[in-house]
Amino acid sequence: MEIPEYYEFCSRVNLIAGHDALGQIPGLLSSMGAKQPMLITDPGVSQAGLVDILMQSLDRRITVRSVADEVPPDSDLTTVHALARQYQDTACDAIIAIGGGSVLDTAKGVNILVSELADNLTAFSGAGALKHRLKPLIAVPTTAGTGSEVTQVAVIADPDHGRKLLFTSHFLIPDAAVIDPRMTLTLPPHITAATAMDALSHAVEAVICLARNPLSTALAHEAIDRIRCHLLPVVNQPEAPAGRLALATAAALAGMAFSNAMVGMVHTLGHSVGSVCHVPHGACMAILLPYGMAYNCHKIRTQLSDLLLPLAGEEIYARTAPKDRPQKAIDQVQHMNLALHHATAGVHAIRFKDITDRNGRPMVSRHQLPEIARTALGDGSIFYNPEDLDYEDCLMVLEAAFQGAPLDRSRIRKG
Amino acid sequence: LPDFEEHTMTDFFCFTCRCNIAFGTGALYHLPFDLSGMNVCKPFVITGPRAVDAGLHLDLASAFRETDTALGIATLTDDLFPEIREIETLYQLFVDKGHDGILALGEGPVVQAAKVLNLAVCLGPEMLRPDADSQKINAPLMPMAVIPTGPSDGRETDITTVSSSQRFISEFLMPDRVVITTDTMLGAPENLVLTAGWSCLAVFCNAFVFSANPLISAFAATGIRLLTDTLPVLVKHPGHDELRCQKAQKKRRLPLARLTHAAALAGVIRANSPGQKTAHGADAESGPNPIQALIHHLETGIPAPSRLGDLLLPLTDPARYTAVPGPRRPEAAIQALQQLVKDLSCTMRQEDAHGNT
Repeated sequence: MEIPEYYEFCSRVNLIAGHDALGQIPGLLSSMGAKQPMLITDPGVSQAGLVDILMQSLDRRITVRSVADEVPPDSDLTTVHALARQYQDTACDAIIAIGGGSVLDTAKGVNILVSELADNLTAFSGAGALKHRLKPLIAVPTTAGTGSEVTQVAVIADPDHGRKLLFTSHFLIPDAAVIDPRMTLTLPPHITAATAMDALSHAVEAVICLARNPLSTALAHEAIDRIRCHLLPVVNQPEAPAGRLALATAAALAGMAFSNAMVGMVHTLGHSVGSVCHVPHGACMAILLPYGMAYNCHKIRTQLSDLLLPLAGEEIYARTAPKDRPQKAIDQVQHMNLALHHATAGVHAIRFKDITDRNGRPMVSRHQLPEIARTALGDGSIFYNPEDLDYEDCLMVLEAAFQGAPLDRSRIRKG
Repeated sequence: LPDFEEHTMTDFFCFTCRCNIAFGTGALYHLPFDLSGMNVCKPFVITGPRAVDAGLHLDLASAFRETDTALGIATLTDDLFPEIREIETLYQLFVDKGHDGILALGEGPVVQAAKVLNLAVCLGPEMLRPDADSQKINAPLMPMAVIPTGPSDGRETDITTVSSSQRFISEFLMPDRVVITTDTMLGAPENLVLTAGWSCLAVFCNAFVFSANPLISAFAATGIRLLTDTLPVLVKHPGHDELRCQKAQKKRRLPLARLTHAAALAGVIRANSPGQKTAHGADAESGPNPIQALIHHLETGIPAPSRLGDLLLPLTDPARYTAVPGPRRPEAAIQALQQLVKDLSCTMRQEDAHGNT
């Protein structure tokens, strides 16, 4: 068993998962001495009727004092400051965040301001700026991918300075993450596919990257096994509560895993494609994951071999010769992408050149690849990647992922 | 045998681990930074005579030498759970000196005493009385870190503590941090080492087989792998001449730290299985050899638990697991467990004979 010389594991969130898990929220809030929460969400979640389901799960002990349902997709400082004022004006004592990554990050930002009685969120950016426990925060994810409901990170845009602010602290981990499959039942198949592949990328990178540890690896394997078993069936039959619960659980497990083991080049490049071309994060992760595995293959053969079991199942594992298992694990992710591509009638893209916006226009152009590669070099996750990466390496991987071509592994400079 | 509800559905589960587990070389030297992150400037250290005799309190103090943190160190009279009067004295000391966090350096009794002290400083000295209101714990307590000095019963990460006549259970009794490092491992007699090992193995195997909670499965699988790697090393290098008031021999410190790590994981599993009995009808920590009792129950249980076959995976490796056909895995898992027990017992007898010669 591989144990690093030093590692830490922390996941303070109280994870509650089940078919009627929302019903636990009143008890959770009461146990934390809160009874007047603010509810933060976005228009899509609200229109889908998910807020109504949550409201019906509350009882007499809880009075929602304020509902903020206009969090934008890339939440920014202005939104966070406005919601913090709303929280204080309505004398709330806790936050329930129901939504995807943007909503949950916004709620974390609001919680910083209202707990620290501060009026400048920027002052708390970076790592370790928080020294105290924050107000009770309950996270209810409505996508099964980001894992934000269990992580200690929040990202808030600062449009005035053209940057994204990163906030990291154990105190940002929500007090409870409530996973209820009713919250993801209405996700369309292609979003289900992309978000699950995001979760898969968290789990796989948690296993292969430099800060891996035995607990994060075990959680990641649990997550991958669930994604393998349930992703395709759910994409084919979206209203399957058991499958939805399994995928949402997998996303939380993967979130715990990568929160303690960090991520590598798949996220390095994925963040940059998202930043330059505004491609949805899950789509980037799905395309880049097999390339990240292939690029690092010579450094992580043991980890890739072990990953084959949860990625492919025991039959494929048993009939693959040991020396072929690392490559088979990479192939398995590609097969998964291809199966999702067919199941979503081609909406789930398997190469960058095929990603289009709502109007059918390509979102990634070949001439943008150099800019993406340059941007990637400034991403912090690059330090946790097993193999070194420079500009030329990033560009090589991006070009292959753009075309959907196999990575020319002879060009990888093994450090 | 009592009824045991086998959980085969994952329709509902919950899991919490408030504790940050830090493991490894130099982990002690991360502690000042972590305490500062919790706004702790003046921690109160509780330790026991054995740790002091081995100079561990000095090692701890040296980790804080370059910082602004002021440590107060109190040593319990002996290595057993103290009289309430002694905790009252600690309470007064804590309050008078204005401490703002608690460090427990030692084994079970030291950790228990630190938790009871934490209740008193946060909720009032009346928590030390026999009629203390155990329902009163509904908010986080004072920041607390535990630095174990050897494998024990997992008390460092669980959610209980016991004072003179009261048993308290609350998630807030789980410390904020457990620091497991080779630097603080004390010598340990083999019977204690093996008792801790068997106890943890029983907790892990029981949890893995009977719980469908994926987080418990992950923690249990990690614990089983830690033990299957570590116990053979410890048994092969028994510390016959080790004194419990001295640091463990150098070659044994890392496996002892790993066993301590396993014990911490067992504590987290217990914390998330409230009231759950083991399959053989008792707490896994009780009895002379809980793993034998568990094996016996798994052998005779009809029908075999559905996850018994999966236990083969953490007990062996993916290649051996997949080489055994599914229907034969329950039997193979029991055999692997029996073989482990047999190998360890044999090695131990051989080493004993060698030592006697």
